Amino acid sequence: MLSDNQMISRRQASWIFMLNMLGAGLFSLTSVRTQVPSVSLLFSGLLTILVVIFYYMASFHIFEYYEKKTGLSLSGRKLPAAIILLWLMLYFPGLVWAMDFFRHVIEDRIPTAYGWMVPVLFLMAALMDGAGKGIEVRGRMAELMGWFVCVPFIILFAFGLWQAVKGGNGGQLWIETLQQERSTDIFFILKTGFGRAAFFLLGDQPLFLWRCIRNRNGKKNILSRAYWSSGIILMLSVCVVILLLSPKGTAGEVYPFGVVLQLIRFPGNFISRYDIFFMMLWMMSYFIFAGGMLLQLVEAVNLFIGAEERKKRIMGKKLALLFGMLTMVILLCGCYAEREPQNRSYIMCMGIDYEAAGWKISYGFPDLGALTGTDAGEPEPVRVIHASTIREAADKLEASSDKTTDYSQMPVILIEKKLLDNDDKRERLMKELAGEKAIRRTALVACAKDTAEEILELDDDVHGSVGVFIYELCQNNYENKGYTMSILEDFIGGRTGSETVIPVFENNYDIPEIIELMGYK
Amino acid sequence: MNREIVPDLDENIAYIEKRFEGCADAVMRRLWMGDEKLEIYVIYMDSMYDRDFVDGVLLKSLLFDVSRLPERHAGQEIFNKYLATADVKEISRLDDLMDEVLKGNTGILAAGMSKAIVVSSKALPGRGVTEAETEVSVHGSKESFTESFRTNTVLIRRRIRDTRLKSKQMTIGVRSKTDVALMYMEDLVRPSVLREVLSRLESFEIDAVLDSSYLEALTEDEWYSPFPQYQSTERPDKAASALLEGRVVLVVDNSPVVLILPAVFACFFQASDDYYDRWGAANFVRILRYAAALAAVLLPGFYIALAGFHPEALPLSFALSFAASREGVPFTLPVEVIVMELAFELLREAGIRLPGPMGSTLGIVGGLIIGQAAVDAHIVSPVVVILVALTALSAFTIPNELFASAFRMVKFYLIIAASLGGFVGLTAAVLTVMLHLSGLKSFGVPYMMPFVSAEMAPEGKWQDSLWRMPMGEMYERPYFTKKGHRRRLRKEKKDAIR
Repeated sequence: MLSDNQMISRRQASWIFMLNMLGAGLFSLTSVRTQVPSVSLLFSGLLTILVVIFYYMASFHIFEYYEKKTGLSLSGRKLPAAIILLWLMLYFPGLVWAMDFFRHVIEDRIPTAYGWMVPVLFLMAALMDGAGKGIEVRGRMAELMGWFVCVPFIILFAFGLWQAVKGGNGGQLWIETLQQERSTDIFFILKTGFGRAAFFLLGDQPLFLWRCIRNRNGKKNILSRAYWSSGIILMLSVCVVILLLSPKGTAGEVYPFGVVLQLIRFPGNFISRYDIFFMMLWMMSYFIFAGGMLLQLVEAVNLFIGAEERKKRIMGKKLALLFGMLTMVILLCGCYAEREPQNRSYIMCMGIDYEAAGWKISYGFPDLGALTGTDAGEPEPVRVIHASTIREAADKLEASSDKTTDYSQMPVILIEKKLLDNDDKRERLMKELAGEKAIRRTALVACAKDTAEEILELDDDVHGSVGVFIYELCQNNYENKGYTMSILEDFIGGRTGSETVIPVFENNYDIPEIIELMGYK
Repeated sequence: MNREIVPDLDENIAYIEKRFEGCADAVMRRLWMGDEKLEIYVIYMDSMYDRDFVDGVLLKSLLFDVSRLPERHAGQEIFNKYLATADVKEISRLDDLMDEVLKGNTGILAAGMSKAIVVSSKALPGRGVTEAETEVSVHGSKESFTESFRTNTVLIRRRIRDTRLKSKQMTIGVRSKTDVALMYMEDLVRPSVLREVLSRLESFEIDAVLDSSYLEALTEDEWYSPFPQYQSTERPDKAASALLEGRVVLVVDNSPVVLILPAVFACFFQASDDYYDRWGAANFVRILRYAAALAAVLLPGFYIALAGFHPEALPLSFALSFAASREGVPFTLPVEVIVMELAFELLREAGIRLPGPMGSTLGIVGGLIIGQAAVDAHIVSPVVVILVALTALSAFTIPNELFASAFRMVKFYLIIAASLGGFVGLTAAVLTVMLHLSGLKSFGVPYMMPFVSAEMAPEGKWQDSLWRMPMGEMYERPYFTKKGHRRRLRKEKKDAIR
């Protein structure tokens, strides 16, 4: 499929290798329903690498054996049409699966209007990359992407490691992981290890095969017959992917992206807060992955229909045009996701009290003038809403406000102590909060000795916002003394091994004051 | 039709005068010399010739110093003995003669001679060598190219006094007949690049080439790309440096800007002072330039994506400040940014067109007074004013104006993408830009080299890209140079430098 005039260098091939591995790794990470034990992840990663290396070595030995046995050189042979058909059959399910999978992840991680069109956008981009420009440009693109994708990840990893070492958390993380896991999950290791390898091989295996053969034989031409054997292996790979990581199995689930990294406690819970940047990096690696896959696909189609060079160029142009049009349509679909900053009603603190009919939710808003030192108008008073569910309260709030409710900056959730002490009620509350994806997972969880509403009413007395006051109080006077405050994710993500504390507040002459630090396990 | 010169002088004169009919600036005169033995015909263009030389030396010597002429081959005798300059040539066709005259040279036809004599006497009006305006250097040479073709080649030759510096001269433009010099170091240039340049220059015919940018537009790989695939400079030291890297320089008459090729992305971030300044300071500034270029292209789109689509990624204080600053602003976020960016572009354009002092005054008035007034009137938010100013400042740090323009264009594309799709749109747009850059080539050299296709680059590819090594460590010439000739510094054996 790849002709000898489509040269890419060893370095570019290496970057493609790395990016594909990264893309595959990220995909398999996001497919995990719950938090991933790091030991299992480590072993599954090793398994992936072993499978990939074994695959290449085995492929090469098969070709070498074939050449020795038959005395034929595989160079320069045309690929039989039957193989091309088989190739197409192999790629389509993988492609459909990848698109569907990507859609689910996007829908879960970006609460905007893009929907299923986003994968199409990226696949079109990849098509343009692969079909319109060819492997040479793709190789160069992969190198650039290496700088933009791999380097940030390496930096992030180093940063996380530094954080872990600095905070003395290394040992704690290990213990926590073992505590969570109790024993290594063999099934998980096999599933993600093989799945990831298959995902990887699906992207660019012909390319590496070609490199491998060319390097060993010193010939530029493709060893077409080699695809007989590699096709069979590829078919198996696709089956493994489809069976083990099928969209049916993962659809509708939560995709805790970057959960392993979340075990390391970044300042401000880095991962959740900057999820979107990970999404950007992920999209880029996906771009490379899909590019590889579609390059093979388009080359196969070209070979199959016997397109000339000129026709290929025309096809590339048409694809580029289609891509441009689709991009416009897709991006326009996303328009309504945009909200002006002044039209967002930032919730600064959410107070939750229990009452017989359900919940009494108090919403605290920022006093923009006090918090920013500007004349930004009068502050909005605390809103108290009685509702049977959190969702209903949110709906009631939105129905009576001229702004869009925004939980993305909410620093604190204040919960009545009686509620928190009651296991059943707490469990119900956390279940409801888990269902509200817009609520910030890194919001600090604090406790009100009497009622949360009473504390929230102190907004005016703390100059701006009770939420900000409580958050900064905890940051400045407790976090730097070694205390780790509980965040919402600890409750709804079930991080039972955490040594975190919950501050208990009471109204002390119109000032919220910590009277106790409750341990939480 | 290029007519042959015939021995019958009247016939030649009739043809020439017919062609120059209506050209009041053409000076044509019959003269007799050598005791009226020989009739000659002198032709030149008024004010394009060196009056002192032609009238005071050349014609004077012909008319008054020549007394005895042989009966036969008198014209050849003049050419051999009586011309007071070495810069003469013989021409056998009338149209070639007229081309030479139109360049400012003086043509002499003699009766009975089937050749014309062309004496180099060009003295075209033009400004002298002045200080570089768009590529100012603090430490280096202050000279800049002029509109004079020959002055420009001299400015380069002055810096490389080596016979291996070759200058291939050609004329392009059916009507303008513009002189173009293709300069290169014979032993350093890649033959494939040289061949490609020559073939592209010969691949078109155009009526006039009025500036070097014409050639750029006519011969570049991808005309639709916003990124320039030639490096243009007004600094002779930069052109000389490029020649020593094995690149080709195109000098075009009437253009104060010379073209350097091939050009890659990294070239446009190199300023002359990078090599004249101290190593540490030069590197600091260069890295700053790269960061500024990223800011120039990404900052507005990034702001729109953050504030409009993904405020969760903002620190709380920033999110609240953005919200507070936007209170009362009538425009939506993207419109506000685009309006301000366009306003800045207007100011910039007006500043360039206005005479010097007025231009800078306009910048101050526009930037400070209008900006402040717009904020006070709640038409725009202060954050956007700061953002646009920062973006503009960042764009100005890019040393090449054409390259900076490309960044400005791409910036608007990213603003639109971010306005429509937040970070998803921005990512998609960045990917398409990267894809475009990956596919771009300048005369066979990948545009993103050495960041991509580094295997094409020899050892020392990182000597001068994102940063530059100390001068004493820059042993190799960059990847443009022909293989086997890349060593430029050798400390042990001085004679071994090639």
